[in-house]
Amino acid sequence: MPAVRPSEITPEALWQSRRAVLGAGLGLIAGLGRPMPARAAIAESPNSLEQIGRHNNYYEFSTAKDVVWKLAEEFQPRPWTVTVEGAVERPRTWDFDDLLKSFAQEDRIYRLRCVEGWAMVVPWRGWSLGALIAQARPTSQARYVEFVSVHRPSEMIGQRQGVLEWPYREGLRIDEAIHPLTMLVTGAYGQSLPAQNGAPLRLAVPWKYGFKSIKAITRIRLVERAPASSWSLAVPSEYGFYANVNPEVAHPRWSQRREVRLGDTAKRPTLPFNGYADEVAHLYAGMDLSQHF
Amino acid sequence: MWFNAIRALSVLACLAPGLWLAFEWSAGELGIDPLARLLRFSGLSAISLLLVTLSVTPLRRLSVAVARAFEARFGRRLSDWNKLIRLRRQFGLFAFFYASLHIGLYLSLDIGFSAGEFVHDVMERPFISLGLLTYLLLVPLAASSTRASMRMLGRRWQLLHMLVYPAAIAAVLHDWVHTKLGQPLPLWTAAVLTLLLGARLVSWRLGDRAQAGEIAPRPPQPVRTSTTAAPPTSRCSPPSAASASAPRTAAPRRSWRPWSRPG
Repeated sequence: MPAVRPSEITPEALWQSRRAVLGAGLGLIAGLGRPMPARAAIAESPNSLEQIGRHNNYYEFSTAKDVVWKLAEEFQPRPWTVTVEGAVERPRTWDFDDLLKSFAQEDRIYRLRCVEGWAMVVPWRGWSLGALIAQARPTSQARYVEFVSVHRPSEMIGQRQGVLEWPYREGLRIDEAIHPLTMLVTGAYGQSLPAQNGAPLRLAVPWKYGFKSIKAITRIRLVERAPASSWSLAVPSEYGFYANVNPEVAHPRWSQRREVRLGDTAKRPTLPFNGYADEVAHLYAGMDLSQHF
Repeated sequence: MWFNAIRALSVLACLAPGLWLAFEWSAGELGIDPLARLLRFSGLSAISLLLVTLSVTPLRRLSVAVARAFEARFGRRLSDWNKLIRLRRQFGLFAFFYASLHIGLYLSLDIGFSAGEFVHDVMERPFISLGLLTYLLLVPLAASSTRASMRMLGRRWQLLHMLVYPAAIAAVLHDWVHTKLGQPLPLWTAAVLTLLLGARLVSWRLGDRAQAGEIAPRPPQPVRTSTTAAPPTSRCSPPSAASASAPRTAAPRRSWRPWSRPG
C-alpha cells in the first residue's frame, strides 16, 4: 500500500471539524426517518428498472454489460454478513437482516455517473453510511474507510479470470464516508436490490464516478492510511482515489465533459461533482483536483 | 454471370449493417445506451470493411499460388480468386461510407456540432485525434476511386492508395486507445490487421508484383503485312482485291488498367 503523501493528509481544519460531522451523523441516528436535506433532492425522473438492471459494469460476472443480469442469477445474496472492523471501539459482524432492522430505510433518488461516460438516475433505498460508522464509534486513528466486496468464483464466473484483483476493494476518506449523501443501499425502486446491481448491500456515492460505489459489501474497515482500490491498482494512471465527477479533469484517454443519460441518443454536459457541488465541494477546498483525481 | 451474382451478394452484404442499424434505430431497439451502440456498430462496420479491402490482394495472390501449385502437381487448372479485385473498390467505398456515418454520429449526437467541444476533444484526447486522422486519410482514397482519377493520376494513383495502410493502423489504434480494460475486440482487429500487413510485407520482400503473371497476358497478335498491294488509304474505302486476300488481324489490345498490363 503506498505511503500517505503529505498532500493527502486531511487538512487540520477538516480534521478538527470531524467531531462535529460525526455528531451530525449521530444526530441522524437520533432522528431516524428524517427526510434528506431538500437541496440534495433532484428533479430528474429516474431510469427504468430494466435500464438499471440490464446495463451493469460488474466484472465479477462479465465484462459485457448486457449479460451480467443473466449470469447474476446464480448469485445467492443470503445469508450475508457485514463486518465493521478496524479503528473502531465496537467492531461487529452484522447479520444482514439485523442491519435492515436497526437502520431505517429511506428512498432517495440519486444520479450515478460512470467513468465511461454514461449516467443514470436511480431511486435507491437505504440509509446513510455515517449512521453505521457512528454506531461503531471510530477512534482517532480512523482517517479512511476501506470497503471489501465478496470473493465467490463459484457463483461469480468473472472472478475466475484476473481482469481485476479480487475481491473488489474501494475506499473513502472519513469525511466523505460520513457525509449524509453517502449511502448504504439495500434496494431500488422499493424492492430489494437485484443481484446484478450489487445485492444485498452496496454503496452509493453520487458525486463520484460509479466505480467508487462498490457492490456486494462484506467488510467495512476503518483504517489510518488511504486504502488501495481495485481500479487504481489495475490502471493507476487512469483511476485515482478520489474519482470525483469533474468535467474539467479528463480521463487520460477520453473526455469527461459530456455524458449520455441511459436511453438518450444525444450527450449532455457533465456537471461538476455530478450536480452535488453544493453539498460536497467544501470537502475538497484547497485541493488541486487535477492531481487528486 | 457467376460474378455478377457474387457482386450483387457482396453489395447486399455491405449494405446489411447500415440497414440493420437503421431498422434498430427506427424501432427503438438500439438498447439501453443507444449512442454507444450506434457509434460502436458503425465503427465496427467501417473497420471490418477496411480489413476486407486489405485482404483482397493477399487472398488473390494466395489463390493464384494455390492454383498454380495444383496445376503443377495434378495437371488440372483450378479457378482462382483473381476477380476479387473488381470488388475491392466497392468494399473500400462502403468502408468510407460507414466511417462517414460514424464520424457524423459523433459530430451530431456526441458534441452537438459544437466547434469548441470538437477542438477540445481533438487537442486533448488521443483517440479522437486518431479517429480524425483515419478519416482524413480515407477521404482522398474515396475521392480518387473513380476511373477518371485512375486515368488522370496514372502511376501516382498506386502511390496515393498506399495511404490505406496508415489509415488502417490509425483505425485500429483509435479503437485500442478508446477501449477500457477487459474488452477484447481491439485485440482481434489488431491481430487481423497484423496478419494482413504481414502478408503484404512478405509479398513485397519476395518480389511479387500485383500485375505480373496474375492474369495471363493476351499474347500479342502478329501483325501480318500485305505483300501484294498498297494498304488501303482509308478504312472506309472498299477493300481492293489485293488486300482482301490479306488476313485482317486486330492490333494487340493495350489496356490502361494497371492490373492487366502484361508484365
